[in-house]
Amino acid sequence: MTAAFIAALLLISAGYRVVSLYDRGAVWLYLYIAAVCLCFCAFAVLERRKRKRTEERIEQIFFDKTAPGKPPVSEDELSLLERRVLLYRRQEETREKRLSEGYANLASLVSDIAHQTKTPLSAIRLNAETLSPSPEAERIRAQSVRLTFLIDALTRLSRCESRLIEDNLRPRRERLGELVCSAVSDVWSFAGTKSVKLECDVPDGLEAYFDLRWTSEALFNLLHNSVKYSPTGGTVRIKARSYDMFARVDVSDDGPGVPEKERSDIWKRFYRGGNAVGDGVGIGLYLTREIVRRQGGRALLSDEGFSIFLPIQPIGPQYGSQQLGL
Amino acid sequence: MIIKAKDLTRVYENGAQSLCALDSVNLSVERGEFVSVVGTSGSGKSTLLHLLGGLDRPTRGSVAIDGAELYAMKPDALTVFRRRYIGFVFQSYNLIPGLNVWENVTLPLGLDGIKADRDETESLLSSLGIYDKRFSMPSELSGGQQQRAAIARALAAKPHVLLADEPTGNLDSKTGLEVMLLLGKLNEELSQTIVMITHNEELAQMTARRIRIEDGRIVSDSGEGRS
Repeated sequence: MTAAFIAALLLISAGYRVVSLYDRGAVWLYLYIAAVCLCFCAFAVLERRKRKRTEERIEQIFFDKTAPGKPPVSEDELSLLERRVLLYRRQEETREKRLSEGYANLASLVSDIAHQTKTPLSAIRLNAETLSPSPEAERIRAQSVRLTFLIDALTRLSRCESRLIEDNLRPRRERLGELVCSAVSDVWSFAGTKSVKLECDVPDGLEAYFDLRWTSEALFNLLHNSVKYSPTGGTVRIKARSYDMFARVDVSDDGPGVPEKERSDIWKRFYRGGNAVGDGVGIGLYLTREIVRRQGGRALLSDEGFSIFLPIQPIGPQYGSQQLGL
Repeated sequence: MIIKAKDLTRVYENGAQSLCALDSVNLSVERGEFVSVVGTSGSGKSTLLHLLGGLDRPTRGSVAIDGAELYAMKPDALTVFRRRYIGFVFQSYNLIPGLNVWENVTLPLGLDGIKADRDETESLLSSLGIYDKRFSMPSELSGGQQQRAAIARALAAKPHVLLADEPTGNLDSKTGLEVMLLLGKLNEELSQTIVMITHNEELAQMTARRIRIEDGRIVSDSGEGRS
């Protein structure tokens, strides 16, 4: 555009000089060409402005959430677009609201159910235990034990939802040996029922910075999962190592492993894999990751199995607790 | 498959001498993967990252990001592609000194003529823990904060892949671990595909897939053989 403008100026000046020297009759031709160039410039300027205005409007339509929904009334294309985007945004808002409400309801419902079923359940169990020994009585007792387990899981889940983990986590310098011992002793009897061997490789004197009780729960969940998916008579290996920045605890088993596709999903709440077996509501691994994360650690599943990384020194709390709000 | 590099080779010519920094590397990365590339200095890992991100030109071979062939593009188109779809995090942060954190983070969007959404930028900065520092100049920030600002800038454009070249290289071990945990979280919660270069074996352990590179060749890949 600038070029056209300069060309026009040149033409005018050059034309004027030539004309003044030779032929005054050609002045009209030169003036005509110059006028065309100037028109072109003006047109370009106008087009550019128009485009800029359009861009600004599109941007406003799409990105300016604070703009109150001025009802678009004209019937140009942009207006229609604006109308559509506004509609879509409104729908999205409603959906989001409904979703978050539903979620809050669910969390409180879970906690209610867990609470309300505890009393009748323990009554059933107590009565089953007082019945004279018979296969039926034993089955009632076993089933109520299972149910208690599920309810416990739900309670733990709702506890975790209400940010109780965070308030209860008291990380301090602890020995890894103690952590492994505590988790292993919890899973011991379950491993016994499947004759799964537990192999520990934990050198003496390893330390890291974590809350013993909660982290033991986290490790227990990994062990429980590994034992559950191990073949009868298999081995679950626990290995602890310490590095400059973190300590690492690995859990591996002889089970089939988790398919590549499901690896990121297994950490999600209520997720149960395609090959899931036995009881479970799909919160153990979710809890594990939350517990480890909130202490500045990391839980990982790779080809080698599960690993948890625990910091050697205290890590800034903002990394542990904050959800990424993206 | 979000990154696919085929037969990637880069030879540096210097007069009569030539140095093969990268030798016929084939690599593919799935969407949502967190890959670390380890190797000693001079092993070719930075060259690999630069080629994956379109910052260099290969002597031979091709790179496709989300199906788009990087080196079939004209230079201008490649620049735009990089700005929109590839996020970079460097060891030396590379924040622009005269701009504050907010301006640095919104700059790549601004170059595309897009006004950054205020709410979104705020939530990005606060989840990276630098919301309080949004009006600070890079020189007023600690190393960890500068790196987090650089990560925020890389993420503002919602890139298909995040390429990080020694992101913890200039940080002390604690801050480095924090940045690493942050990257892990981005990967897990947002399914952000990340390729991270590091010479720190310890940090590399924290990613599910590790690639080791030596003398310009991939010598081991823990994710090899997967479909």
